[in-house]
Amino acid sequence: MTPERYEQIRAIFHEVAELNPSDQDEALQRLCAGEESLRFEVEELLREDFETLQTPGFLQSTFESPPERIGDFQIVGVLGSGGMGVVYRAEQQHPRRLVALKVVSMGFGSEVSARRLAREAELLARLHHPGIAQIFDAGSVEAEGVTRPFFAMELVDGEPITEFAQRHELSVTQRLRLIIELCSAVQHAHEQGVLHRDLKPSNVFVTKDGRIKVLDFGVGRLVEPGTSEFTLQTQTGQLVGTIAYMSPEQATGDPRAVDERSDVYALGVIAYELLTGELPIDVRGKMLHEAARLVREVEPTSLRTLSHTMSADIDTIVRTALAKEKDRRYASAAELGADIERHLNSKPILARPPSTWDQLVKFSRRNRALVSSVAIVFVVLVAALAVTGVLLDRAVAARAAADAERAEAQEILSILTEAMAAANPVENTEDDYTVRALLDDIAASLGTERELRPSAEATVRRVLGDAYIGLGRYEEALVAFERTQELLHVVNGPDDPATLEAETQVAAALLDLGRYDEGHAMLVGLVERSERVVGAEAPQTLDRMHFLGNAAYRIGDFAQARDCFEQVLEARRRNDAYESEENLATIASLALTLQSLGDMEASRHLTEESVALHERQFGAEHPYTLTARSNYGLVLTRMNQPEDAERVLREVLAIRRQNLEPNHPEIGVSLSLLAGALALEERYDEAIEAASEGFAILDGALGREHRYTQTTASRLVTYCEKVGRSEEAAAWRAMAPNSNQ
Amino acid sequence: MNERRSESPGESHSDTAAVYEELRALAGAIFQNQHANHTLQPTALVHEAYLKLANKHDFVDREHFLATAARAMRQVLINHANAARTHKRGGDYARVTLTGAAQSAAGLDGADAIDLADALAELERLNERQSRIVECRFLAGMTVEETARALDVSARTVQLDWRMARAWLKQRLHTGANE
Repeated sequence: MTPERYEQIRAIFHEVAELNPSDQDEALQRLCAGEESLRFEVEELLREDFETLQTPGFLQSTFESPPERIGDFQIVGVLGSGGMGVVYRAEQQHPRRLVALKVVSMGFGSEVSARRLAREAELLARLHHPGIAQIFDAGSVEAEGVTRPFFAMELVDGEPITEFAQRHELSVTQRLRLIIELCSAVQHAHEQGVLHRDLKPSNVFVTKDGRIKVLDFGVGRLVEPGTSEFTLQTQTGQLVGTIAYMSPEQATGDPRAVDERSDVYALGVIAYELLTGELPIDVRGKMLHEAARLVREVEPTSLRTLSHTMSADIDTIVRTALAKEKDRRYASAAELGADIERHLNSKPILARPPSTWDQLVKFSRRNRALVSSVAIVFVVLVAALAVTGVLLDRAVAARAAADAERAEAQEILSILTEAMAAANPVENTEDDYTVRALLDDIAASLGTERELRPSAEATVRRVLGDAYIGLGRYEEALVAFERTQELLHVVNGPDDPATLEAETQVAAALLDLGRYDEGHAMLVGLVERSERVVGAEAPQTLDRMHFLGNAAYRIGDFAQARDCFEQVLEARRRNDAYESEENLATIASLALTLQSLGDMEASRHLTEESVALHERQFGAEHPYTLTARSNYGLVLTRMNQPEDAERVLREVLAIRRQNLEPNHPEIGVSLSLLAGALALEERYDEAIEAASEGFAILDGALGREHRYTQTTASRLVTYCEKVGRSEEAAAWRAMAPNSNQ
Repeated sequence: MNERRSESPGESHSDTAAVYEELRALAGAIFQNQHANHTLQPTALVHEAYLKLANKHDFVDREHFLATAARAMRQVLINHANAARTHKRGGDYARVTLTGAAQSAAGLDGADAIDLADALAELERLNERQSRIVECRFLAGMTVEETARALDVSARTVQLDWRMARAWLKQRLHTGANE
């Protein structure tokens, strides 16, 4: 830039800077006639200027001497300054008392009329609660040509709650007691119709005698212009400092969406920080829009991951307060406080562990990745060979029974081959009823017409179980696997490799059914025995460790999940099995775990690697590859790239529709994921359509109670509300009682 | 500095020199993070220097002194930036930052002394008066009125130029240099 050009810009700036926004626009039009780049440069400067006026700080010399007096108040010192403005220690003349005087930074365009200030101050003055710093007075002061509101409030001698807790090394129980007290103060204000909107540790003080004092109650409301998206813009500067405590709906910038539950969210953040020393969503050093996105999308790490002694109840309580969707949070501060109280009194809490979509899709199913009917072909072949092998071995060992057993083996083989043909989606266009009926028949005939030896029956049951899994019939699969385990336990003993394998299948089926706690408990013991029996780096042990990671993920212990998956990956790398089929699933799982831990970049990287490996090994349309691609779509959704996500998810959906029976749950999952991407693009009508279809499929295949079904219904609630289809929203909510606490 | 004190007080050149020496002696703390617990900031520094020097020199007036001090402060800033640049070329690049308190007080997070010195130099090339105003307002903490008197322009001009310069610097520091 040349000095001449700068001078040109300067002349225009001087002329327009003091105009109000609409006149400014007109003047710019006139002064920059036809010179778009000139206008652009002036506008950029005006924007920066505007922002700095809202939130002074940049190049602000903090040594500027404070005014001697403001209104009725004599300034005696400076207490602090921040995004919202400066706080002075001041002495009021009538009545004579020391107060904290806060002068709020605002700019033109957002001035508050004196009458409104007075009205609001009167309202705020009605908040009488020992836990709320009393507002005495409000007014306005003119400084540097800008009118700024000020508030006189009770001077609080204390320190922020986090610092207090740290300095006094408070126990968890003492910290929880502070939160309960805080909840009660916030509840009082809510009952008077006043939201705080900016709860954070620097606004929550603890006095010397250990009592809570909430500062600045209602100030947010007071300085907020009455309308619209202006809010986000005017508060840009302070937003960065506050966004960690801001609810997703506030981070979206929609002031109409803000209600009591937004304060409940902030209480959750404060509790999280107070208990773990960490922020639930780490927004430090992030750009504003990025920080806002993280708040909207990233699930906080389980408190138990950060602090192993933390109780599951507290984890559930805090994370309920931190739910992304308002409906899933506590409805009031009082309810939050009451649940903490229940926990402290060793009574059952009301909150239920979060079951969000996030926890779902990561493993879009069981990660050994028996994903579709196509997989049955593979499994059945392998299993059938095993059957034959087992029976032939035995025939050699016991010649007497050889002929009978060989005949049996042949019978089984032919039955299974039949099933295989029926289940093969590539060659068979019949609906899944045929296949299922066939499997049901075989299952029913075992133990009635067909009398097999226990070991043979175990093998067949297992094959059936695998086939059911392929069809998404997890309940039947679980029965089959449990029977297998039972039989093998009797025949071979508990520590036999075959028994361990059967147990693994049971655990995996439990995970498929959403019975994660049972599955997790089972796998912990199983991995330990497996290490002992077949060795720590044996492929079977690594498979089980993978399942354990899977289960840990689903119960929300992402750190354990990550540790499991990483251990498996390292062992497989050492054993030259990094590109194996199993390992592809582990890579995909680790990618999703990293996502939940908030490491989006690493996750995306791994997911891309996973898709590439799958495509190379299986081809682009293989069910395993589809799962990987589906996960990639999810990563893109969560990285806020909805167009790319939509494309990927639509491709997967199209292939699944082509290859699977029309009501396969995988199609339901695809539709639900697609709805998520569409909603991100704000194409709510299409999202509702996709999610509705997904819901019907999942409801039919997995049942109303299944989390996938529930999560899809709760999506529908959200989307219908977004477009004002409130009756439909209510209907979906009724379908999804489990998704609302 | 002690020798300089005896040099013809009241004369502009030596005013600047004396103030500069005093500031330089104090300034070390600002640019070293290991002294972060000293919450010194440029403005406080200037005022501290003023208190030390005021009764030893016959400055025309407070504004005059402050404007002089601000210039000196700027020189300190430039020197440190240059030193840091040399360091950088040597491959041992330690980012020279203002102390934590000074930095956040000035809203300069993410920017460092080099960036600020460079931006100020560029501003000086584009519009010298605006760079003077920044020195007075930011580095010396002078009010709009004080700045207006020191630079002999109207308060309104100072106010508008200050707003523009501040916006320009902010833009430049936050987006990085455009070349």
